[in-house]
Parts: sequence; C-alpha cells; structure tokens
Amino acid sequence: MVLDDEVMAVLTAVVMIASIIGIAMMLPRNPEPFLAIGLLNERGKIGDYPRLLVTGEPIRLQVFLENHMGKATMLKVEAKLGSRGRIPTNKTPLDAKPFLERIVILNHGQNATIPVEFSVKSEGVNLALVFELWMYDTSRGTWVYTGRWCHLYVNVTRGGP
Amino acid sequence: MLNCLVEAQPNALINAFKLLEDLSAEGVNVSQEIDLLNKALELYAKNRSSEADALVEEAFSRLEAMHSQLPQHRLRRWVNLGITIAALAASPLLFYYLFPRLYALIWAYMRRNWIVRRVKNGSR
Repeated sequence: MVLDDEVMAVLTAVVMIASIIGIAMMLPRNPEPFLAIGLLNERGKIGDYPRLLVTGEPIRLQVFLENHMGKATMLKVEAKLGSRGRIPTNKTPLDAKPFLERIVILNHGQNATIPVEFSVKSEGVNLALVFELWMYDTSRGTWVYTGRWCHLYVNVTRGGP
Repeated sequence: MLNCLVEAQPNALINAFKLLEDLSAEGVNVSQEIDLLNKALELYAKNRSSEADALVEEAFSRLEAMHSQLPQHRLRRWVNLGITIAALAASPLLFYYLFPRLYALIWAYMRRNWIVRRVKNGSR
C-alpha cells in the first residue's frame, strides 16, 4: 500500500490541528469593546486640513466613526470651540456649548463618515475645533461622553466687510 | 436640537433603539432597521417630524416582531454552534477511519483494468 503509517499520522495530525483551530474560532468570544472617531478633510482624507479660517465662511470637514461595541450603538458627535490648552480629556468633555451635533446609529463593526459644514463666528489664534463622541446609554436613558475626541487647531481672521 | 429630539421621543425612537440594541447584541441582522432609524434621524434634523415618526414606527413594529422571535433565534444559534463544533471535533476521527478506506478504494479503482499475471520463475 502506498499510504504508509507515517504519512497517515502526519495527515491525521494536520486534520486534528485544523479541527482545533476551527473550534477555537467558532467559540463565542468577548473582545474588548471600543469606539473610534477620526477627523478627515473635505475630501474624506487624513491631512491637508484647513488651518486659516475666515469668520462666517463655511468650513467643510468629515468625521469618521466606527463602532466595535459588540452591539448597535447610537452615537452623537458634538462640535465645540476650544483653544490651545482648553480641550477635552478622556474623562471629561469640553465645558462649552456645542455649535453642531450629528446623531447616527451604527451596527457592530460598521463605520460612517459624516460630512459637517459650519462657520466660526469668533476670531482668534490657536482656536481648537473639538469633535467629541457621545454614546446613548439605554440603561441610564442619557447621553454619555465616551472619552474619545479629536481636535483641529485653527487661526480665525475677520472677514472683509 | 437632535439631542433634544432624541430625549423628547422616549416612547418611539428610544424604545426602537433599545430593541435594536438587544437584537444586535444577540447577533440578529438589524441592518435594515438601522437604515430606517438613521433616515428618521436625518428627517428629524430637517424638521420633517411626521415622516420621521412614520419611519420610527415602521422600524419599531419590525423590531418588536423580531424581538418576539428572539428565544427561537437564540436556540437556533446555539444548536447551530453545537452541531458545527461537534462536526469539527469528529473530523479527525472520521478522517482516521474513512481516509485509508477511501484511499484504498480509489487506488483499486485506478487499477481496475490491470491484469494480475503470475511470473514464472520470477524473483518477485
């Protein structure tokens, strides 16, 4: 017989390892849940962000969101105006009124790129355009700050008359 | 404004979202309902509340129907998982038992036209 014992043993070992890997992959796991937020330019790319703005003139950006919470999640992006040294932390949001809000529901593993357009009314140097990520907590019935944000420093000049 | 809308719609949007969250956590496909609710959120942002309410209601009724099927879905999921794991676990044994037999059958089939002839005074 061409199929000798050594060959048979090796083939059985390969099948056994494949079976063990298959079982390990099938078993339900609880990976660490996380949310992600990113800021993209007008064309939906990283970099080439506007740095010099004029008051009242519209600025277009895109906010990228991704949900890996293991379930569908209702997310809210709040845009706020901060400054250098006055940005959120991973525990507390920026103490400022949002000038723009967007709400979206994302399934587990889903992402979305949300175009935002707004204008800045006040002029200043090193102003921070802050985008905070909030999540709706159904057990508490309220929005909860996720500790995720991104910001863009800009200089804003006064527009012409 | 949207924030206020979400908090002002506890019986519709939030209830629909609660069902959605439960179902998605159980691995139920709720992508169509998510699309409906996202469309409703867009309409709320444009102050087209009546159209948005209709979408939320549609999503809610669909989600409610799916939620009532959740125990069966859960059972089906566990049974499928059990069958798959059992099949994977049995595969090395089945391979060990069946493969040599299958190999021998194929070996014999490939040589079905061979003629066995005794070699006189042969060394073999």
